[in-house]
Amino acid sequence: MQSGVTSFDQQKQFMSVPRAPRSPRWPRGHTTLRSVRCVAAALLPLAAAAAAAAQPAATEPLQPIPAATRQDPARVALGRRLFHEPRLSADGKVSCASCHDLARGGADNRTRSIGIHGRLTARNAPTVLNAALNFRQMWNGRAATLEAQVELVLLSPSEMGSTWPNVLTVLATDPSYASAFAAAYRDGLTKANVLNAISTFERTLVTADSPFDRYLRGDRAALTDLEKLGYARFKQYGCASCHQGANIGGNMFQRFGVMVPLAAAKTTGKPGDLGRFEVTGLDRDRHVYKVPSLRNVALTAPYFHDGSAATLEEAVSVMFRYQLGRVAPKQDEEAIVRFLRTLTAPRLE
Amino acid sequence: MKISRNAVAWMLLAVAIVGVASIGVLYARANAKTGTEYFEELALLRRIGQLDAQWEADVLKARSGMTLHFDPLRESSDELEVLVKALQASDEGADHDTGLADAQRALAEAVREKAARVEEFKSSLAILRNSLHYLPLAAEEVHKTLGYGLPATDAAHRVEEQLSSVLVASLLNAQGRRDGEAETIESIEALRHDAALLSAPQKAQVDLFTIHAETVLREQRTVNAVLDEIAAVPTARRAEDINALLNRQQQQRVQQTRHMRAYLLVTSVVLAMLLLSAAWQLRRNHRVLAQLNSQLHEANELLEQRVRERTQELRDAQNELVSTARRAGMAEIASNVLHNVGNILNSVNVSADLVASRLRNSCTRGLARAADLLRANEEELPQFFAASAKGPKLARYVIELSATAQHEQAEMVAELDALRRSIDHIKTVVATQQSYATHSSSPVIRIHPHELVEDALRISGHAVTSEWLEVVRDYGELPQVLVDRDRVLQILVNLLSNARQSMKAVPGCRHRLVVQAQADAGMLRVRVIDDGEGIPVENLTRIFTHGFTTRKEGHGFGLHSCALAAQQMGGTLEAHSDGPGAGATFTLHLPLGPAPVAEFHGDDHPAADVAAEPAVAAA
Repeated sequence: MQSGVTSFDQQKQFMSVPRAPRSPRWPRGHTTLRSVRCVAAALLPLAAAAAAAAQPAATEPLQPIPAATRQDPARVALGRRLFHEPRLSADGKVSCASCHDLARGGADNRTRSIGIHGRLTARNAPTVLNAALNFRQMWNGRAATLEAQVELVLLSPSEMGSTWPNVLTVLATDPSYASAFAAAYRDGLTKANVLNAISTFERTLVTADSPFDRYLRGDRAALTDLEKLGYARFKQYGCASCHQGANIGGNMFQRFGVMVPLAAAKTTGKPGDLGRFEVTGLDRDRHVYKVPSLRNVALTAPYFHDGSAATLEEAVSVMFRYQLGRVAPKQDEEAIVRFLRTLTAPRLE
Repeated sequence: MKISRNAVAWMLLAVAIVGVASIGVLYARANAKTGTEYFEELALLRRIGQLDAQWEADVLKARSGMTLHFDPLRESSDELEVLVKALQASDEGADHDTGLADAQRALAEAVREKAARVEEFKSSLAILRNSLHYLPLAAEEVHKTLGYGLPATDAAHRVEEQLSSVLVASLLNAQGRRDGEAETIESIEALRHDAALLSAPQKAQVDLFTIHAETVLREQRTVNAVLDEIAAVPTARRAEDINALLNRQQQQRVQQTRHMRAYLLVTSVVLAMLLLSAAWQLRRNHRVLAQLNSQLHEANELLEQRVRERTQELRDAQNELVSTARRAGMAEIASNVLHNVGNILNSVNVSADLVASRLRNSCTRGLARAADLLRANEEELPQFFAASAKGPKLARYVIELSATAQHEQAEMVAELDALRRSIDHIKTVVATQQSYATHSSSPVIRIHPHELVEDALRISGHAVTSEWLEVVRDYGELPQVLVDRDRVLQILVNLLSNARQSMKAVPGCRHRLVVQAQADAGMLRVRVIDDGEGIPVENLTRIFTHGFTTRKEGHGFGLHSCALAAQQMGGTLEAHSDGPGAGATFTLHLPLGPAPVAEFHGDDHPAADVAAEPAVAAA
């Protein structure tokens, strides 16, 4: 039977109807649900047809990933070395790759990561893959650029806990680094260039050619029917309101617990993990986090800022309850999970 | 008041320096900010304005559902931030206009404000959209739960009605109706109230609907408020402020430039006038200089003329001197010749006198008397010899006469020999002197020194001791020497002659003349020691000079030419005297071997190296 689900397009049509005149078509108090149902029923075939038909990609809420911009090869190589360089940390054991392992989808499959001296970090490590497409870095968006994020981590006592003199000394005393910096940058080894090198490398970590991207670019056969259904559900349930754009997320802030406030039970992290409130101090920013990207999401369990969802299914159902305030039928959730798995790009070299 | 020229010059120089300095200053100030920067900044501002408008348009597009994702908003925001930073950077270097800096900071602040609002908008819009989208579906589900109105309980009916009204109201609100909020709230309240009477599952369903309706309401409010705030953010006005400030700056700059041009004109005119006056002054100076120059030229010409005349005079004088010297030289030679010849002529005279006196006193007179006696007694010769006493005496007398005659003859032969040799010597002296003139070398022969000395003694007439002079010879071990015989002879003859003269000047006692000849250390040493009048100390250095003489009739050529000759042969001539009355010693040193002929230091004889020649037998 009809599930009564209208497509997002139909909703758009609703909203683009011009301002209603003083005497509305549906007079107050005299409206019956029946009329609404009629309208809905009338428009449904249209909607269904529209859903099945190919959408021009430009109007989709989810956009295919853009081609990575060309970066200076010398700087990329240098950045790759620095990304895997544990000597940048205070105890010489933690590198960027320790928490953002490129072999594990750019994260580390831990609830929270381990920094220097075995200290636990405050939050779950987000993936470094496609991080260049995010409009901010860190869960509470306190780093405006990739460079800022690297610096914050380098100096954070629970992550790499180093100091700039320490880092620069380590790099300066290694002749291969000194010569690599001199070759890649005109002014050699400086703080800005260290950050720039690592960020330049991260900008190349853009994963293209996931099955979904191919689908968006016109390859109808890239997704199975179930996955296509999952995509349709993703949009219909409104997941695509926040997880949208080229990075399928990563371009806005949103409260975690829109419909159902995050009870104390949900915050398993340390006290004070209040999201953006820690940056802006505004009350309305409590529990507001950056919407994470869903690209390669199948690789980066566990999920959420506190790593509280161990599987995708769990994450999806949490999202439904707290963000959408709805309970979805099991097959819809499954379809959506199937869809999410198509966002995984083939392995990077 | 008379101003000195110097002061005027300094004043003009000061004016010139001030002029140049002021030009420099004006130029520097006029160039502080070029016009292109102004236009670049205007372009930046225009771009900022465009982006700002585009940003707001993107917001409305998102609001109206034309774009379903927020990437354009993010791009606009990023680019705007970059441009605002660029605008601030472009003003860094220039003079810090605090008004401009403030305006730029205000713009940056406004942009940041807007960005924060846009973030809020995004968050609220997402929620609003979701709930709004779900509302009809939620309503449908409620309807389903209530059984599509079939079991028409009162409560259910009322609920359904309220539901539809809330739904419609919400949808209408979503389309922009602004004044239905209060109504909607009432309806929702009524719905709640009515739903309380339903069964639990139905109530749950209705609650779900209600929550979403409230969410729609809340987020609607937020979205509208934020949209208003976004519209109210004065980014455009700030940009306009900056624009106005830049325009004002530009106008000021144009004004300044106009002023600078005027100043520049004035300064350049002043400098040009200075330049002209300097040029005129220069021309005047040039004329004066040209005049002086020509005067100098004339003086130079005059001087040259005088110099030429003097040079000519000098040259004439020099020629005269040269000829005089030549004549003097010739005279010297001639006198030398005369002197030497004179010396020898003495001995010639003596020899001739001797021969003459001998002949005069010859015993031929005795022979004549004897012959007379014999002639007288011619007829009675035997009785003469037998009877008379004169006869045997006559025989003895004739025998003695023959011996004497022989002896006389031998003497005269010897004397004539000496005479002949002296004449030969004269010949060689003349020849030698001629060789000085023609500078041909005289023969060098191997000879025993004591022969030379003996010849010299004889020529000078001191060969034998006489009653007033004792001649002592002191010869050492002498090898044969290779010398120019004639020259050495000359010298020795000269020395002996001088010694004779000096001893003759002290009459009344017997004098002693010592002639030494020794060979030692490769040199032949011939000394002539006399005890005559001696040489006073002050004359010792002067006796060798040309033309010095102490004799009344002397011509002073002897010792000078002797010294020269000695030098020519590679030897020296020395004179020594203890003073007047103590006699004098003249020493001639000559090298034993082939003499390196020294340069002849005569005045007008060209110096020439005459190599020693091997011994040539004397003619």
